[in-house]
Amino acid sequence: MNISYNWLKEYIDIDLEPEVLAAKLTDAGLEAVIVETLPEFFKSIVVGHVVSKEKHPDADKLSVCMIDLGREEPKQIICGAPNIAAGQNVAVATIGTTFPDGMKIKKAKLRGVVSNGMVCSERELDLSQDHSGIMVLDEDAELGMDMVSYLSGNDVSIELDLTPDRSDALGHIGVARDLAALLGLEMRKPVFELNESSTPTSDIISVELEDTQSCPRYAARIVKNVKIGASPVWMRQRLQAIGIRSINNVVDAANYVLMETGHPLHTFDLRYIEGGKIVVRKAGDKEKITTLDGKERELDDSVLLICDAKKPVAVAGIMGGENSEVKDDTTDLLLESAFFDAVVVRRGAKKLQLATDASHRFERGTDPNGIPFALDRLASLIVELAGGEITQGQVDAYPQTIEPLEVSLRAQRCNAILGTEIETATISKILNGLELFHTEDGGVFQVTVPTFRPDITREIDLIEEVGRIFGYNSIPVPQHFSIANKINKKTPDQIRERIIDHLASIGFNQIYGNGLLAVDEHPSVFGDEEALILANPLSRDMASMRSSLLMGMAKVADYNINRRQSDLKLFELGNVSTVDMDSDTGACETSHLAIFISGELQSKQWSQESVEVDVFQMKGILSSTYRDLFGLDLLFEPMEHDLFTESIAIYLGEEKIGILGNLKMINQNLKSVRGVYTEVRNSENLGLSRNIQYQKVSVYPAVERDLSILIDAIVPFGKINETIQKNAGKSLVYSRLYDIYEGKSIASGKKSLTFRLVFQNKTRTLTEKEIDKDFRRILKGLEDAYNATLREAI
Amino acid sequence: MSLFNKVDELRSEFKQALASSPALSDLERMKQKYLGRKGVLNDLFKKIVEVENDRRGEFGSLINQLKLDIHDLIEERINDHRTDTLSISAVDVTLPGVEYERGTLHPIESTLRDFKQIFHRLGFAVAEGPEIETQWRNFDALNFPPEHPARDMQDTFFLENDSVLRTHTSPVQVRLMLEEKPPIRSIMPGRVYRNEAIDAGHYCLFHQVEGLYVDKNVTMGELKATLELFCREYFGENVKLRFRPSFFPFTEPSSEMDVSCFLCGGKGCRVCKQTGWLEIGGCGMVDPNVFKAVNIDSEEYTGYAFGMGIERIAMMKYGITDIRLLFENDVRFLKQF
Ligand SMILES: [Zn+2]
Repeated sequence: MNISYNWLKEYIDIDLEPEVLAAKLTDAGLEAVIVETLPEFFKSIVVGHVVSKEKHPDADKLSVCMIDLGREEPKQIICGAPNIAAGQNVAVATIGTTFPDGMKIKKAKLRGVVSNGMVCSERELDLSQDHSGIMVLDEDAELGMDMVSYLSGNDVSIELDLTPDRSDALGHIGVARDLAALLGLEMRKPVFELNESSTPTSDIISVELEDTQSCPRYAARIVKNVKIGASPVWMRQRLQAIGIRSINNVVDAANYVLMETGHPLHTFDLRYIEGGKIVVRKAGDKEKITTLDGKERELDDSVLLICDAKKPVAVAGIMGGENSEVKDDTTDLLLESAFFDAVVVRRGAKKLQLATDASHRFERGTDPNGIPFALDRLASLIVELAGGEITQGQVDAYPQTIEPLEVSLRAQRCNAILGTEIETATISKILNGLELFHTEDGGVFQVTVPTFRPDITREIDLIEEVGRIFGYNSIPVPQHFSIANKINKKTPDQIRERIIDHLASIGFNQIYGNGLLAVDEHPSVFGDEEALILANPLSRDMASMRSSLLMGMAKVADYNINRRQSDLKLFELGNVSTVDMDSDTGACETSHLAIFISGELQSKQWSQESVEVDVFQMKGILSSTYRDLFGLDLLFEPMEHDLFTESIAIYLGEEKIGILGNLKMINQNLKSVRGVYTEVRNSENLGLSRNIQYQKVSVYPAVERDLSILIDAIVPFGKINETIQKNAGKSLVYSRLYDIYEGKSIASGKKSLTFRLVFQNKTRTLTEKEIDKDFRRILKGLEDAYNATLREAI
Repeated sequence: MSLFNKVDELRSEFKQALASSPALSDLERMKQKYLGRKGVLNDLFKKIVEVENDRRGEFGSLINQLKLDIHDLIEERINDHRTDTLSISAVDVTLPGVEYERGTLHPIESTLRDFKQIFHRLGFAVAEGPEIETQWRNFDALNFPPEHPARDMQDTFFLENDSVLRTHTSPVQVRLMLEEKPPIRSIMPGRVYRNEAIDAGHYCLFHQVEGLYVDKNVTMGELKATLELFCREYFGENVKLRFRPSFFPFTEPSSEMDVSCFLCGGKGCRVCKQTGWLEIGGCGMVDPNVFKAVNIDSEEYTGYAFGMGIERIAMMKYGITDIRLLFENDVRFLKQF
């Protein structure tokens, strides 16, 4: 909402610069910035006085004018408008003006005569559709004044970004009230005359409320014999300053009172109100109305209607109907000032997908007891601008008076919450400034909260008001503060950080993927996931929650590979979610770790060969991460998987926690993505209680022996290793596979494996004989199980 | 001669042989002679049966030690030979070293870490909760009345079953206050969602760090002190903080917090849009209605809460002008952090 600096001054005597004023308002919670409501190019369009007008020697329709721009000599300007005449004040676009459509005003010759500018019509300035002639300005306009100053009356427009609780500040009076409290000034309400005719309004119209819950109050007035026309300059300037386009005197008056009081009003053409009756009721199912914007709308019983004896004439609190709209030939008006329930208006506005100045205010809460004032003010203003007479009295249907709330406030509590030592007298002054009148006894205030402050219902709300006006920035900052004496639970957060740090330290780049995917972007990674679907997605490609990290990772890989970044080492640690009917949200969320590698894991350097990625690289990264961080050994088993070649299932004990493999093509859009991927779940619950105990290092020598065996090629390493461990005895402290060979020099169907075995005892030196014994037992185990044979060292 | 002397003899014999600058092939031969399966040391070891029982261990370790020494010395010499070959052309020390490429933390992660670290020092624990929440925990318990315009402040994604993607991490506050008795002093970092059109300044998801302190005698002054200290630690010692009254359903009084622009020092620049101030988050005193929803007596306890958007702050800090860069994950972007 915009407010005008000049307009504010009608209610409060402020002499602060607009910038200072905006800062004060901001500090009090009405976020304010100074804005331009008129376009920049208006600054080079100035008021000029037509000194003389002569016919163009070579063109019938053109006039040659001398126009005084208030500086230097009058300029010669050619004008084609029929209504230009000497003695007028007009708007002159000076040389250099660039219009929004790109047209630039240059010194030019028209049929041989020089023109030094252009006289503008209202349409050229986008002020109205009027193109019948040039715009004639006020007689006493200051020559040379630019259009920004002229149209706004030298005003400054301030944009307020109001929080939804501050419905009271949705008009100039409300803003002035806050300023009064802030600056310790008096606020004046507008004073106006109201001359009524002797005809009672109630003879002409009656009001019937069918649903007093939705409409607790409806007041109407009649103004007869008005003359619809243009508004005077002062009114146009007021509205212009806050960015509202002038329509006609009656509509402008209603907008003016809205922006003054914050109370929405509506004007009907009385000749279309049938039966002398206004009925406020809920719409019937599929009932229709055509609103002011020309759209036919189908309603249901969530919408409240204003009707006459026969038909709906407006959607309550949202928009008037086309059938009762004020037109150029309207003479008699029915004015509406009413109070509608906030939720009803909100539902209606949602149903119609319409947000108007009126609905915005009703949704936030208007003042039921401000209705008569706003209605009188509007009637008076209309007569001032459009003539006519006001009939006698308001017809005010208000069956149940809404009383102001009584709320108590303890000064001590106020200071305890704010951390201040504000004196009782100061609190009292602040409350009075906001029209929160009260009595006080022993530091306890009994406050009568006026109905224009629906946001204040509790002591804490009053404390906020005191704090707001006292100034949050004036609340002292203590030099010490307390910390809870309490042991905090260990959180998975710490485990996650360790995994992330570990992977980053070995060369991986962490990514943060977008967790929203298209509904068909959920390739089955674990086999049991059912994705959660959004009811109101932003777009089709972000319509569900990720059930695995794979798609997000693949998209990032694709993005990079397409930009010639194909050696990738990426990881993500994030939540995925799947359908879970047992949870109160219908969702089960788990933390997953995904790693993707592609291209070269290590690039070639002069002293070092390159290393291509493969599943064993990934297996090593994963198993060492788990072992080093959590002291846990992962188990890897072969499996079939649609998404991978060389698929491996990852187990922690009995539980399958992940998959690993060489990615096949996921879909046509992600053709470029080739690499090794792994995803494991629930990694964060591990290791929270890991208990490390120091083991004494043996002082006795370790002895290395190499074991080379020939064995059937189909026997997996895992089985061979298991057999070695089983038969090794206690002294084998370390074994490492350091060569595998299949080829020419050995029998086909066989492979040769070489292990480095290290024997050591904690309490004594091992004898050669003991080692030989262990060694032979290992070999025997392999011979028995797999027919392995010892291969002599070369 | 005792077998023990024999060990000493073999050691000095080996030393002599090594002193005569053996060639690479000589070294290989020496390896066979001393260390081979049928080498002299293994032969000697077999005579362990001739040693008195109580000295056998000693004898064994003596031989093993000699084996290790010989092995090391020979390997050392073999290595020397290799480097000698290289040094013929003198070592070109200007050749690049062998470098290990480091990985990176995502800028959202590192910003989160900075936050956690500072608040950790101020005695805040970390609490977490799910991204999918009930409307009760995301709205109702936080004093958002049903059908109130306040719900429009946060454009919400709904699931088909009426759950929501949390619009803030405040539901974690609700969970925490239901689970634990005061004092509660925690921060809640996490991912949140807003149903907003995506552009340079907005994304459909982002990350927040919220904080909550509930105890006896918690004041707004203390809230200011905590945030001021945090901002001075994070943005620099000289930054100033500004509090502006605002509205959040779950706090009363509510405030926005601005920090003086750390780039221009408050004079006005592009980043602060010439205002000299940067908006960094909201805060306030926990609304009594929230306490009521989680069964905490608001007469006995008071509390403050605050929340900041990580992306916004990371973008300011790193000079990132488009939020989408954070979720694109271009490695050329990632590797800069
Ligand atoms: Zn700046």
